[in-house]
Amino acid sequence: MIKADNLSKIFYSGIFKKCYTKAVDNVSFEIEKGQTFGLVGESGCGKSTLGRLLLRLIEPTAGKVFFNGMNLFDIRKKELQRLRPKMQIIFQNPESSLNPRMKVYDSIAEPLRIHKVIRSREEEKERISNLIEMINLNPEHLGRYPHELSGGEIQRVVMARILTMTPEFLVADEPTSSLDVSVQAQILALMKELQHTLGFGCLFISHDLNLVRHMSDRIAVMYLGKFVEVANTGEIFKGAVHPYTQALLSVTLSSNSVSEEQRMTVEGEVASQVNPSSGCKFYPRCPRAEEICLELEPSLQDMGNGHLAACHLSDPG
Amino acid sequence: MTLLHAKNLTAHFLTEEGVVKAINKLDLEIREGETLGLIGETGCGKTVLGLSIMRLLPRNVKIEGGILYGGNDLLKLSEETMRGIRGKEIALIPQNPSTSLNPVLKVGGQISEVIELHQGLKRGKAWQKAIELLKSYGLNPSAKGITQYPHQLSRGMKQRVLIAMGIACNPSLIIADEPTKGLDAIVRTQVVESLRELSSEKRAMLLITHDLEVAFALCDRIAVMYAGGIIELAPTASIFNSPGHPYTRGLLNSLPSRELKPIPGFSPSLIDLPQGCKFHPRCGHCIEICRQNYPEMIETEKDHYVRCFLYDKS
Repeated sequence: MIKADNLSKIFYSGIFKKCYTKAVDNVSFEIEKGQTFGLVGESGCGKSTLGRLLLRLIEPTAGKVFFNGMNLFDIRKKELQRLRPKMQIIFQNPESSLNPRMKVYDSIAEPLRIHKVIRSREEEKERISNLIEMINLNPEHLGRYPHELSGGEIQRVVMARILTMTPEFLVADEPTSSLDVSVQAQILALMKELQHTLGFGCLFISHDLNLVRHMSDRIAVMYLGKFVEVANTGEIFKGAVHPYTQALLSVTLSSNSVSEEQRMTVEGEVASQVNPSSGCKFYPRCPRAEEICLELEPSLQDMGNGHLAACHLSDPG
Repeated sequence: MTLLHAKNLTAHFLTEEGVVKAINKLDLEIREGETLGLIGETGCGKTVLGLSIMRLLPRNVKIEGGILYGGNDLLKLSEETMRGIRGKEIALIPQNPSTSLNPVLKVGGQISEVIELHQGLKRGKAWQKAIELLKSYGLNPSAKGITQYPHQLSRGMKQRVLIAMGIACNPSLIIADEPTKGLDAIVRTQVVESLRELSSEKRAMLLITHDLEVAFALCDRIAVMYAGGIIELAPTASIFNSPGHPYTRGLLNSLPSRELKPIPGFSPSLIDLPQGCKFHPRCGHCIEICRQNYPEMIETEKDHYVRCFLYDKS
């Protein structure tokens, strides 16, 4: 349903635009209807940029995104606007994703008014009261302003806004990163339920592998703008190949799925993406790095069963 | 041996909307050398407890009860004596690393300031000590780490600067307020390792967190807080293997590594707390008495205390 083809986004900086940051670097993947595609990686690896590219909230440097067979970057603005209701996003930061001067009711009603889905105020009222019942909010919340709500409540309002349309594709950009465990569980349970009834495809972005495991059918691990490993959820947890994925699995503190010999630690922090050098990007932190890793950048190789990994050491050939 | 004892502590915020009852008759002992985890949802009063031990709450707070430390009641000490205790005997690692450091001072100077003040060292010596501290937390001063400003450091590094600052004067109690909040998995593990080094020495730590996995990795005992009171207190393994209170069970089940099953309902407003057991409107095991009386702490196993009528044998 949604397909990214060699997608890249480079941000230029500096006075003469001489510095560049490859936020997303030549990424291709597909998401099918009703499927959840998990995207894991550290802060600053380009997860959010990729999510925004898929909805054409920012323009890419190169590559295409197909939504139901149409290239989003080719079509005219009018047509794009017609597609917008079908593609939705939940932002990372609940506090800043609602207009602080609008009451909750108006925030939810806004998309209905813009896309002219409803004919009368009465219909609008009815629609909204149905919606907030679906997402377990009280009618009294409708008269409040965003600063009077908790993070979990705001995320519910955002969800209600999304449901005013009939989304076919949803980008969830760390929807629970600022929430408590119990509230997180509530929001995710709600998301799963809605996905089950409405059947939309979803890109679920998070830095918590445990969460992504619960939500996704297929997982991509991203490091400095590139996919280093893509596989079905079970496969990632059973037989991760890339050292970075293994490191991520090891730091999932309570995981029992990692055996002692697989357990590994990573030193240091993410290298800067500005003007990167050649070779594997994980090289400076990789405990298993060899000479070839410094010289040649590995590409994604199929390990069988749709399991892709970009690492010289696991290269089947 | 008890190091610090919060006795019948009550902290109420007097605000325009009403009295926010952040802490209600809380009783908690921190033993010498132990790491005590304090877990609970946002807005249950965890941070307020930490701040009231440090006496750092704003003026509109009414505090009652006592905080006994080394034979003194911290709440009755003069501001001057208290200033000698803060940082030297009890240190706080505050919640938000990006706003807790002074943005216009280099981090090295901020650490050496603490050392100069409490240990009476000269500037050069204090600076030297600050460098050593930072080195032991994986920040490399030779890589200019010490002469950098906070905005030049990543979030994980700032957190470690704060940890170094907290430990600078070798306090006997450290209060760490959500030290892993907002950190990535890998950086989080690095910070957890730094904290583990702290606790393995002879020093008590109160670890305030809502990250149950971090609490599990670091703590000797865990106290579960709900709506301003401790509802369960037990050794870590006991909490995770046989949680007693329905709230603790719900909290554990909402972990992504377990069932990801939410607790029904929402936390109560601290202005308008329910009668009786504060958890009863959300509790699946609620009986008549829960609606009227506030339960006492009951010892269900050795060292495992639960505040719930389900365990009341009498």
